[in-house]
Amino acid sequence: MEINNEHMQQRTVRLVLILAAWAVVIVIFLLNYSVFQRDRYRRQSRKLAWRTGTYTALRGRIIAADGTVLAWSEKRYALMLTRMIAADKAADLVQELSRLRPGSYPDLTAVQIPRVLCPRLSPDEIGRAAPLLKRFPALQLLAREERAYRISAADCARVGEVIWRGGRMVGISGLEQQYDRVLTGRDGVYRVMVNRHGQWVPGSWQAVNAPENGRDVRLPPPDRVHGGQHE
Amino acid sequence: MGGNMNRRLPLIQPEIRLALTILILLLWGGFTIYSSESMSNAGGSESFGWRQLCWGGIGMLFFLGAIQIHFERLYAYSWYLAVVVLAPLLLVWCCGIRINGMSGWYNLGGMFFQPSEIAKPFFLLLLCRLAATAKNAGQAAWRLATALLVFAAPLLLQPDFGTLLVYGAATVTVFWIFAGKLKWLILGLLTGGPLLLAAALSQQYILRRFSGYFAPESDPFGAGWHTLQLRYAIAGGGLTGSGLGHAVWSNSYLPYSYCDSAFAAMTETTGAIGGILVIALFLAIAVTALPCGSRQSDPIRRGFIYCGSIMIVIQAFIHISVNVTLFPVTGLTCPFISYGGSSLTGTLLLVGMMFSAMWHRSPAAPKAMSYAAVTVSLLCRQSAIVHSERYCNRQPVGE
Repeated sequence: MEINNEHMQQRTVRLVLILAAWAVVIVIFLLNYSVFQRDRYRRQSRKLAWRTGTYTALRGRIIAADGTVLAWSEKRYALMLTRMIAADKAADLVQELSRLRPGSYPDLTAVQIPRVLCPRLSPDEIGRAAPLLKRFPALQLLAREERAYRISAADCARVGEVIWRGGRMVGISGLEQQYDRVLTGRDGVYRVMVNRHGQWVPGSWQAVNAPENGRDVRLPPPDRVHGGQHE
Repeated sequence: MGGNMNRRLPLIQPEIRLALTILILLLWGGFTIYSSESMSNAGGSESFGWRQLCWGGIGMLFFLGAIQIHFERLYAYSWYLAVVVLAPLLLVWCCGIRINGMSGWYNLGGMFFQPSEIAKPFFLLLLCRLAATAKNAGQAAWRLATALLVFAAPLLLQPDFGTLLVYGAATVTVFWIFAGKLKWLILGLLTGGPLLLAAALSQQYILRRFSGYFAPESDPFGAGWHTLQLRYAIAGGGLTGSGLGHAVWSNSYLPYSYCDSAFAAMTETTGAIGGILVIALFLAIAVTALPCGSRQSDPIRRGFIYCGSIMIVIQAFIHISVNVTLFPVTGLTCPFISYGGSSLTGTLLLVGMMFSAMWHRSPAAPKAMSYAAVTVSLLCRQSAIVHSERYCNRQPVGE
């Protein structure tokens, strides 16, 4: 076959022109999604990936007239299993949990989900549990507020108690009930991006509304019987 | 005098421009891979960025090695080389491992190797030889079609339709550049196109990809998932990009953001402006290869340079077209940009062979025309001019 170098070059130039036309079409598509239809796809992607949630405001303290804190709230962390896991993974997880906190663990393939595996983690335990969260996506570190008391048995009824209702602490007896509105703050709202597995994408967390913690209640001296002061 | 000056005046020789363009794309690729994993494990020894750096080193060795080999030798052994690369391509179906539903990989002690990527430059060289030595266009068409069938069969068995598309495009390119007979080309496309389409549509997952391509929003969590994620990533970048370390979509939802969706991941970081720049750089490869090829009087060298550059650009444009959802989703890497050891090595090997075709005049050519000349020429323009004068004395292959 007679090959003419000039013809060869001309044909290549034509091919390059076709590639240039192809590039133009690509650029049109690129600009379509990045500029012209951007808002539409941004809205869709936000709907898919962004979640809003509330983070509870800390309930205020109950303080005796002499300054002794009778009741206060603490953040406690627990390791929770949120999804069923395969038998081999479950065995690995039990082994890791035993290393984190020695003890006996149930058969994780047969437990009811969600299930708290390690309640009240210490800061050291939280640090050691962090790698497990990446290795076992079914695990979640759950932060939960708990009410702590430093009161005598005689004061128990007077201070009262709280229960969890509708995702927040509610006083159901004693001072906790009496000053419930004051002690309860206003929950904060956040939004965060979650990945395909429902896990938070690092760096995407944003506070929408900051929480307002509940106010403290300072009790009057025993001779004053009408209510306490709010701080 | 004026004419002589004009010959010497180009600021940078086209070969050096081509090398610079490829170097920029390589660096851009590293940046893209880093960005696609910047929120997870970037920088670690297990990160794709680090592994790509290692593969880049291996690819450079192949590139420099290919430059050292005289093109005449590559041409003379093109049949043997084709057989050598075809054998692992055939054996991978039974001896390889399956990744992402494709049996196209060997596991060499934890290092995955895809023979179809390494075979590309040798397949192209064989095609050039078959086309150049054919008696007429008809014979060239039959020869090229046969070669394509031989290489396509193992790809169909894997199945790897993305790579098959590149092999097909390379065959069409070689036929068009060497023979230029539109009649045969149309006949070949009318025969091969429907056959390829029928083979593709016989696969259930390809059907799903087509349905996801035509109506992604009708099944956003199924067939349309990948297509929509590509659009979301591009939309997230906008015109100017979200910036390095802020490409949240590439780091979370976008599937294979470091390889098959690398362009969309890169666009999320750098915006449409960065994307257009990369498209322009790829187009620059094809444009710069024109003067590089035109300097060669030997048609095989010339054709190989033209076809090699066009093949790289076609692969890149197929990848980019998939990423901007112009084409249905297919697993194809972007040359120089995507993560992929075999892909990077195969592409750098092809570039090395192209440079060998540009630089080696005869077996007696001095070693100064080797890789060292690239570095020296980059630093010293005068050196490049001296080299360009040497090109004038070259002898074509086979003469």
